[in-house]
Amino acid sequence: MREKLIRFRTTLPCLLLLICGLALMPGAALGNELVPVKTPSVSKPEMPKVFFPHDKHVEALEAKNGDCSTCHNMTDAGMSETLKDVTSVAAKKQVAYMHATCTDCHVKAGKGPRLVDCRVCHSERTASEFAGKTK
Amino acid sequence: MLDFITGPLFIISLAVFVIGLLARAVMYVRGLDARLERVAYSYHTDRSIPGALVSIFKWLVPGGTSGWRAQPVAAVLFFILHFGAVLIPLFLLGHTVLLETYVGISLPSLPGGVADVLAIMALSGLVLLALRRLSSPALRQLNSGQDWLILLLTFLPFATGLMARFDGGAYQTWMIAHVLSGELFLLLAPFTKLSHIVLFFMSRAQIGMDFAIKRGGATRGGAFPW
Repeated sequence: MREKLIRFRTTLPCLLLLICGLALMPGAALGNELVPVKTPSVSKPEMPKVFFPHDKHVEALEAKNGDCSTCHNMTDAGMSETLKDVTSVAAKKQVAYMHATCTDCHVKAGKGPRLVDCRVCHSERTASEFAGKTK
Repeated sequence: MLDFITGPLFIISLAVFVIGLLARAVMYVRGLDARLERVAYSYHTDRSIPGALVSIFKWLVPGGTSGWRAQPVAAVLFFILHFGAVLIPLFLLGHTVLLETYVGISLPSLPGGVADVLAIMALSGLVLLALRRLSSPALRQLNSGQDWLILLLTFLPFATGLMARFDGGAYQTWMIAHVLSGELFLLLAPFTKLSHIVLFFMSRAQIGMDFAIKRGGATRGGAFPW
């Protein structure tokens, strides 16, 4: 009988099969109101465009008795459609501003994607599904 | 849990990685003995320093030394693994965004297509190196758990990273697996053969100095100095 019955050449393929099994797990369903994010103007986008689930955020805010001013500034022309102060930040820093502001709130709220979950917001599937949508 | 894994646990693994590898480098230098090795390290710096640098540089270039040329298959596999294994952790867009947000350091990022190619090359290099380890007559006599461990430790971050990048089903599960396997790599690196990350430079420098001071070496035309 061989010394080691279960060696790495059996363990590794089994581990790989297990990992592949995880790939068959279904992903999360998205809300309906997906708003294309236009503010950070990226000259050469490496990641798919973000389509923001506005309705999910309204729901979450209402559950905590928050209101629109949490994310939107009130201007003379009415409520701004962009996130807080993103338009007053330099163009090159707008992406970093969005990343930091959005994830800060997610950390405080205890839910929502963090900065490691890139493709939760930058989803290829969503971007191609809603490709023509500009509002 | 994600906040812990990407926050304190990441800082801990990075600290262990950096401090551990520095300690390994220091321990290496302290383990040198000019009398045992019969190399006067401190005396001939005009020869020893170029010798050390030349040795390091030549081994970093594909086919730069007769050692590489004598094992072409291993050399090719080594380089296709290491191009990806070094460039991706440092210059992948996902990583540079995190570095910029949390540390403030802005590194240039690889274009997406290049990163994909490098990652797949790294994974193939790993798999082929594992196959080489199973089939090479010399290595079969030397293989140990440590050798397999570092192949697995390196395989996991690249495999989970690619699975996340392809954004199939369980994206967030793959990302958690990726972060954890990356941290495992960082934590275990100083305690395994992965410490070759610094020790490569140490041992190439030592041999380069030895050869340049005592044996002619690359900087002196190759003649033995009687």
